[in-house]
Amino acid sequence: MPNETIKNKLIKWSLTAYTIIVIGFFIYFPIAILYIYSVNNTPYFIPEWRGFTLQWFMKIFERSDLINSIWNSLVIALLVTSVSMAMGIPPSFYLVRRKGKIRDIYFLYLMIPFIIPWIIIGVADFIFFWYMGIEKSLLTAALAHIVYSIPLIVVIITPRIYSLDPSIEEASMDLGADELTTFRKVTFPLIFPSIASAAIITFAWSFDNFIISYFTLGNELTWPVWIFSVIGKVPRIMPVINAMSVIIITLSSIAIYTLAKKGLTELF
Amino acid sequence: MSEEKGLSQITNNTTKNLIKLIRYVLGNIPGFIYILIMFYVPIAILFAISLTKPSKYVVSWEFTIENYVKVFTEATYYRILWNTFLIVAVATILLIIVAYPIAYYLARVAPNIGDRLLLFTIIPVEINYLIRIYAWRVILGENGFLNMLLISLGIIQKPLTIFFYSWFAVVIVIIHEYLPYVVVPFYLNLRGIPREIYEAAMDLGASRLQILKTITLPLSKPGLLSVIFIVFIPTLGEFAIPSLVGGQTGLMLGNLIDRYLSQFNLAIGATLSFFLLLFSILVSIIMIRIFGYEALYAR
Repeated sequence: MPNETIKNKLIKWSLTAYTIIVIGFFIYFPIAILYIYSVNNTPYFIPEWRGFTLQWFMKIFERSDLINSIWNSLVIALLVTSVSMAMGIPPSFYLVRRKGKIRDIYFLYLMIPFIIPWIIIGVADFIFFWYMGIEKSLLTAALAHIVYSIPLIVVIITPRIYSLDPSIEEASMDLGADELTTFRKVTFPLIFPSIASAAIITFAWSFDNFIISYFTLGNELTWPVWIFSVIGKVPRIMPVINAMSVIIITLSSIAIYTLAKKGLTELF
Repeated sequence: MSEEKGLSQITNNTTKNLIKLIRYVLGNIPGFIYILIMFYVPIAILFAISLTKPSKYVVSWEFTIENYVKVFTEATYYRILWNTFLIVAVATILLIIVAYPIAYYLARVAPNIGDRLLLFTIIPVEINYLIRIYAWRVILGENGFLNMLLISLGIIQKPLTIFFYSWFAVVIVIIHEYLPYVVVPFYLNLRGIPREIYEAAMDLGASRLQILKTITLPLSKPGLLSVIFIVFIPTLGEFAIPSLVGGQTGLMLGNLIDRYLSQFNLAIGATLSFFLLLFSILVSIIMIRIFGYEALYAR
């Protein structure tokens, strides 16, 4: 049936064209604009090439508030990742290996902070800190990020533990290894990819978080909240934000792509 | 003799199980207490404050349910609630329509490059949430790229503000933010359908359209559930997008909550937040009832 093959080819081609157009033009269009205007020699977004410049990248160093905000974001993300890993990994094992009502209720208990919109965590903790008389700072923002990070880690790690064959661990113990050795030498290496991706995603989400930080930060700002606070208020800052954004997008893309290529993480 | 040995084995096993249980409990205590103190206690305070009379900078502990009545009867509130729901619903439906063909292409037409292509769409979203909203402001803004382009082409004389400051801009930016997150669940879903099913259907003479209608679409249901949890519920609380590109017609619940919190009118802010919490949980329960729990685990 030649008619059928032509039809099939037509469908294939149109799907290919559609995917290329949506990813290439829609997804990458705003990012391309950022890249172009970060080196275009004009502070305005005019459709004209005014020559190559690196002055916007140089101006980053003149804004200590910008550099501080990046630093603050990194510190918070690091703190959030390490603390939530410690509190998120044990429940993952419990949720996979135990059955019954208590487990189901505990699962819901952990998941509710995860499925609701983030703004609720932000508002609830905002009121909580205010009511308790706790002054808001970088630390309070980190404390609020951990609330959704614990279930996030559980969600990423549990499927991997599910697919883990318990008899492998039993075999290790039968051969005389104690539980700690078994965990270190058998279980941990097997679930390591999911632990690594949990750490990376927790870090990225925290670095990137806007809404919870917005409600729980003090005077020191994180990078997303800083952008939000200067847009429209500080004139001529736009090209400098472009330049910093280009640096962050480039670095994060390289990092994620190499990690994924090495098979260290399971991004999906 | 063997009976005695069996007995000691059993007691040995029970102590082993007990130790395991104790270890589970000890391991879970920090996370349990943390979530309790930093989430459930604040939510309880939030709920209590939502039941008090509105007053600035202080909580007047006079209980009333007036705030909840107000939210549904005063136009300023329910208009924005309705607007929020509409924006999110439209964006979610459009996202599914835009994303599904891409997922289908990656999983069924070009399975060899699917993973790599997906990686390319994911990379720009993994870190840059606010940067991308900002980028859209650069494009759609009053002195933004699009206006400048139209002016230089002589199509318009003065900058248009209909791109900026609008409902339409919010929907576009939500679609841009979440598109990869919608492609991924559908892609994983479609890739998981065994080839043999399609081969069997084709052998039996089913047409492409029939296969799509009777096999592919029904089996994509778990992807739909993920979309509700990844896009629909989280964007109900969206704040950055409507504040940066929404203007007057694109106002959402998040803006309303922010307005009352920044005035320290906590009672109204708490009422709106608690309503959002209840609504999100209700949607989750309905969705899980429709699609079943397993769909959440289907990868």
